[in-house]
Amino acid sequence: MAGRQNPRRSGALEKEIVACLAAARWPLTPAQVQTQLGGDLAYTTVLTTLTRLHTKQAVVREPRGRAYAYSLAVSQADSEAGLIAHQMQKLLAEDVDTASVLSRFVDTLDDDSEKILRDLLGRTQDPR
Amino acid sequence: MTALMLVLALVPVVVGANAGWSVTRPARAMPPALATVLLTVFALTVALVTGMLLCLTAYVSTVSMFPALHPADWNSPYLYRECPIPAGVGLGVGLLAALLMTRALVCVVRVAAGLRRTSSVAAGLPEVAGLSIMDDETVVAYAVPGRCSRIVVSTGLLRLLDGPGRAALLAHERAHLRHRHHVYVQLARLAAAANPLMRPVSRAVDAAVERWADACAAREIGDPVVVARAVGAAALAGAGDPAGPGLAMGPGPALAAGGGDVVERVRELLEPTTRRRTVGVRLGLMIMACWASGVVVVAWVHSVVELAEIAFRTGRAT
Repeated sequence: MAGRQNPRRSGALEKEIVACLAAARWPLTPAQVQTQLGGDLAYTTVLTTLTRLHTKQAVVREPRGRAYAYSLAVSQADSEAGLIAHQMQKLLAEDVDTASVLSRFVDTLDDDSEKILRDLLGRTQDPR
Repeated sequence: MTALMLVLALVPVVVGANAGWSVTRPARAMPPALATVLLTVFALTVALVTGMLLCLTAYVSTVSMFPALHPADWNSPYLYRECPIPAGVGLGVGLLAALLMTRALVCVVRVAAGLRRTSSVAAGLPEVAGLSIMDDETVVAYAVPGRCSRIVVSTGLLRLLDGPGRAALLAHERAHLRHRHHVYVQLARLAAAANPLMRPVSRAVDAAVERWADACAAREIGDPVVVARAVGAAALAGAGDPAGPGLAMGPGPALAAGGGDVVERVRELLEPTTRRRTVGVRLGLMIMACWASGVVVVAWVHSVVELAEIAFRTGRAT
């Protein structure tokens, strides 16, 4: 991957690390997080950010070998959070007004677009 | 003179009616940030000037029908001679203007309600650094604007992407919030509600905003191909699961963007097109032409009314 042109700000890095831990199905060590994030991040940067997240009680850690393995903190109100998330989903699905104020990452695809998209993406994978 | 003014009054209508092909399509060749701003200003301009001229036409041409609603000294043959619009036509124009203004008002109320509802729900979501994770296998990600601005991502989508892909997704959503893309989108939708001719322009703003966020993400990540893959992977996963509540939930037929937009986005990231500055210049000229014709017509009607008042007074004096 090409080098990053500007260093990520800490907020952005925190988000990426949280996203990384959320995607993982088990706790990750800082080294694993560093590998997963890709790019040219220093180990200490990852460790510092993880420690900061731990201070904020956003992540929990458990000893693994000489380091810690981190995972997302499962808040006590987790079932409640799930409920809110589903409420949001329901709003999105049923309510045009609500859906229109959110910007979603991608929209639905029809069959033709799907084929063109696969072609376009297929071309990028070959030379790499 | 009257005929010239009629032609001038039709300028915003003609410009608006041709927006579909003369503005929306070429705008894709513009840098996305510029396209977003110019298209939004264009849509608002056409909607405002057209609405203004409709109201003016209705008011000036119904003097004989509703004399009580107009100043007494407007009731002069001079006004009828200079603005020879039948009162019936004026009434129809007035009803149309009222209908369009009601639509605009309804649009404002609905957007405000939508914003309030999403903000209140989003405020309850647990978040870290503005990111809320939704433990769900569906492929969904969105940015919630407003007081409690949030990025909401499902674990289903996060697991679909690798590290750089996730960074691209987050950078894309962050760009939406940072550049307040929802403001442009909603203003263009308001313009489309106030003037249905602006619907294609509103859709073009939706698309331009996505391209803008993609471009921001590509700059931040340093590699447009990574962004293209993330967008493509998310779209394909959503497409393969049409029954799932994630991406299949369309925001209603009027707002659904369709798959063509995703293809355009990926294509633009993979094969950057040459930018054409002339499109922006042309769009700027069209915006100015609308305003200029609107101002000239209003000034002319004003002068006609002034002269009619003088004619009324001198007519009574003699």
